[in-house]
Amino acid sequence: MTIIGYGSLLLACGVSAYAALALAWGANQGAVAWRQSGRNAILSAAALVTVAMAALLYLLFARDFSVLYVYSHTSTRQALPYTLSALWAGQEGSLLLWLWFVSLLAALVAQSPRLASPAARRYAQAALAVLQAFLALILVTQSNPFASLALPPAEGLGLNPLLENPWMVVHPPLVFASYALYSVPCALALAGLLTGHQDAAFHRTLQRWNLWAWLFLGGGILLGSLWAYLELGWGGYWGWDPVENASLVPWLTGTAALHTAIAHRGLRQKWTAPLTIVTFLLCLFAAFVTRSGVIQSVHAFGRSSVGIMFLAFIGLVAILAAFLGWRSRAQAVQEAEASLLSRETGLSFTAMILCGLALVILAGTLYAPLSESLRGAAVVLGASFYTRASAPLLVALLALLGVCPLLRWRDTSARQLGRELAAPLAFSVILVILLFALGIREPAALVLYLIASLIGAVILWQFGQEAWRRRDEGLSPWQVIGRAFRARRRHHGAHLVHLGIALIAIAIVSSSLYQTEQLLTLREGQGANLPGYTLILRDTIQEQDATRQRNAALLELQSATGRHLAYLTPERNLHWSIQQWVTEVALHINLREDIYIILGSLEQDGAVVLQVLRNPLVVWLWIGGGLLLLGAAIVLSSAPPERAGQAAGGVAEEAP
Amino acid sequence: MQAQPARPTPASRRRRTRTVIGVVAIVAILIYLVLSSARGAAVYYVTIAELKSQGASAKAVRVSGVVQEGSIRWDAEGSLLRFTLVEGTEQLAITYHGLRPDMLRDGASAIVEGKLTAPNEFAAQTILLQCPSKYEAAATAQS
Repeated sequence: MTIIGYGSLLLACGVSAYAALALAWGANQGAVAWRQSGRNAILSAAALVTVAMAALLYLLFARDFSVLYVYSHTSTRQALPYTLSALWAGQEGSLLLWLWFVSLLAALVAQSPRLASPAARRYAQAALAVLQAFLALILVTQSNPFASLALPPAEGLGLNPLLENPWMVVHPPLVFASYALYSVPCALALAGLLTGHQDAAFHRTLQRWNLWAWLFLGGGILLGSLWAYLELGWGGYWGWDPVENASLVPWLTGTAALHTAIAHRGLRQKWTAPLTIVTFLLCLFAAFVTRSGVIQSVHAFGRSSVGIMFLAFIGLVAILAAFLGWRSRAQAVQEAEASLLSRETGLSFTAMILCGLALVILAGTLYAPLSESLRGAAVVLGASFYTRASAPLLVALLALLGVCPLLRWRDTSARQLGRELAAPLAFSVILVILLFALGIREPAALVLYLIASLIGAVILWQFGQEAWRRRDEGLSPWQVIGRAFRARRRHHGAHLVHLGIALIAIAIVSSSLYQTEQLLTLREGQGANLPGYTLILRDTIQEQDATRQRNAALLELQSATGRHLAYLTPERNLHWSIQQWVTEVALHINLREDIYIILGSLEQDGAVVLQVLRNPLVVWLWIGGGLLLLGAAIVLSSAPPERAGQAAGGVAEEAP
Repeated sequence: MQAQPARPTPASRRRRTRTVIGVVAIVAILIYLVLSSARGAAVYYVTIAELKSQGASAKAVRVSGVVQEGSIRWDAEGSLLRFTLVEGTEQLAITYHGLRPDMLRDGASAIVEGKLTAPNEFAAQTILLQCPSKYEAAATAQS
């Protein structure tokens, strides 16, 4: 089985390299036979990679411990879903998964003639084949998932217990799918720069691929932070860790690319292709960060030479893209004048601020390794760097997001803007005054609550007005709302995304400024009063089984009036396989706040040391994230507009 | 050969100037943001000897070393942890208020982040412990 797997990878590498040459030559010479041969090669490469995937899956489920990868990531005690997730728990498997996604997408692009203009599609296929050959080359030379052990052990090491979480089963495939998805618009953008064919259809295709990739990456990041919150047991969901940052940065530039494409006049669209390429390169960079161990991180897989190959590939693509961009700079771009107070300007600023944020986060991620290699000073950058440096940009971005829906294309008069802004702004100001009266005095919190509520108020106010205009049809309010929504699905889908962003902003600000922490030492039967709750230690549990030594505290959470709310069991378990303690937090979640309990230790004298965190409004982060994904899915589910005028989210009334 | 770009009109030249000024301004703001925030947030690694010669300071630093045999004292009631960090011949007494880190044991290599409060007393805010595991950098953070 290892021979089948490795052999098909080797073949896939060769076939992909051939496909790249044949497709590029065929596109350049207009040779149909070469193009056809290249397309066949793409399809067979996809089949070969699928065979390799199946071989590795078979080995994992057969628990064939003579294979190093199987030995390292599975054991006979493992539950079935986690055996599947062992496929992407390590470097070799996750690279194979990535290659598989890329090969399937390349086959899809090769089979669907409608995906892009013919000239661009031909070169894009060649570019995808190059990526495929590169990933296969890494697998066969540096990171072979089928490497075997001379003396097969009887039992495998098993999955790291930290990864045994349902969200961690889904998170890596989403992220790798998004990296693979971003390779398609990047290939299209490179082909567009090369051929100069960047018409409206090209941009529609680019936008759609970008949005798919953005959706997957956003979902991946969201599930990753949910996993960190539930599993890592430090009370937060985002640690500004290099690996987390590395996945956030392409998401930000990808968001910028989406916004430059909406302003469908030539003025801004010229930035879409370069931003798409940059986004894909940042995805590769994220893979480099995770693989190379250059940057110290809790998620890193450890040092390997794979990083150098990634860096070289990033460099080559960047040089190629820069050359193509420079060559195509003279391409005629019909620029339309737009005033400072217009939707175009708003979108441009949005894209610029997003890129600025991405740069700031990238600078922070690279600060420590650069400082060490340039100045020889070992240094770490605390999380406060990111809050300080990104806060002004985030405030500007959210403020823009609040006002942008009210801006018209080309030109908006200040008076008109003022008239439409009046009601939502009044709502937000009153809300903030109320919050102030309730005792919220942190200026940062007040500013952000004002802006975030303004975003929501503007969107809902506009939607309310639209629905109101449709009321007189003898319909129930829900039907009216449904009709108003369906009438401009893309527009309202995008607004759902923005509502999600507003909720996320509120959740992040509240949970980071108003998190409280308490250290408690309890004995059996003893209770502690938290504001609004009572926490009572009912029992302690210490037991052993084949995988771990389990230590748990059974706690009862009561309301201030003594009503039973929940039993909570925070745990601290010593896992034999990794000889490490793993914390399992206990959570009581409601819409107002999470009670997040970490078991510190069970002392010999029966005392239990607990850390109790109260994280206000965290659940709104997940709700907002869900809304964001739902909104993007709604936009994708509606057919792409035929007329460019509707690409801007249904603003069809303006002049072509 | 590329088509010659249209002759620049005064309007497009004005726009170009505006773009250049805008880009320069944005880059300047970004550089300022990064540098000013980094100054406040950067935490430098120092040796115990350097730390002691610098004396007490309001600025947090990181010190690495090995946990001295038999030096760990844990007070569960007050959640107060004390141990001694050794680096070569230098020693440093660490105090930490919080949960007892999972991997803290005699001889473990540790990185502590915090401030020197007295000539030989270091108040740690964060303790990072390195452990041999298949996840190479699986240091647990407790803060």
